[in-house]
Amino acid sequence: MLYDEGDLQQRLAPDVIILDEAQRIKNWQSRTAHAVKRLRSPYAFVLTGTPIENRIDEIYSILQFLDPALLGPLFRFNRDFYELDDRGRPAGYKNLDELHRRLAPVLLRRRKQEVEGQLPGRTDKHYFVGMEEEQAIRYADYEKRVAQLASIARRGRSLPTSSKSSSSGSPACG
Amino acid sequence: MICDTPYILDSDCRVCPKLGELKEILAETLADPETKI
Repeated sequence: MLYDEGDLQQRLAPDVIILDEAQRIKNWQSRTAHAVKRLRSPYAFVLTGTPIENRIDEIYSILQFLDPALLGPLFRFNRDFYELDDRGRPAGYKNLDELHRRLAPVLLRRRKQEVEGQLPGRTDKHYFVGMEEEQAIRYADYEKRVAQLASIARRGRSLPTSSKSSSSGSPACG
Repeated sequence: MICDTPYILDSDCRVCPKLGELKEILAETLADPETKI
């Protein structure tokens, strides 16, 4: 919907944007991310259970939507928080305390153990759906074959030790 | 597997009664604004 509706900003002119499952914009080059970041509003909230899934620049992309100034340009973010190897490739992270400090004013973290008491209980419902004739025929066919194999395996187990060794060591493959 | 659909073993057979049932369940559940999916 976002990228089909070019004039969404104009039509909605939102006062507040709440972006649920915000990890959808973690890849800052994706079409969804571009479309979301074009939206402007005086207030914005992003909700996600996984602000970082694989790499710390995912949180950069999400933060860019909230406040592009907070983490500065990407090259500086990479320079400040990525540990590079001899060839200049990311090998780890650094200054994570500083990243934490910069995120603190805009980040509200709720761990599962803090909120699970407030959540509604999980409801499981079981529905039984019968097979159509086409499925039933095929199912019966496989069932027959499995029954044959099971019966052969049972016979193999009950054979006396002497006859087992005389049947070239594979009594269940007869 | 066959109970879901035989399609994975035979791509000519697209029979899948669970899908129709799921469609009904979703329509029914979504009609209740109190339910979260």
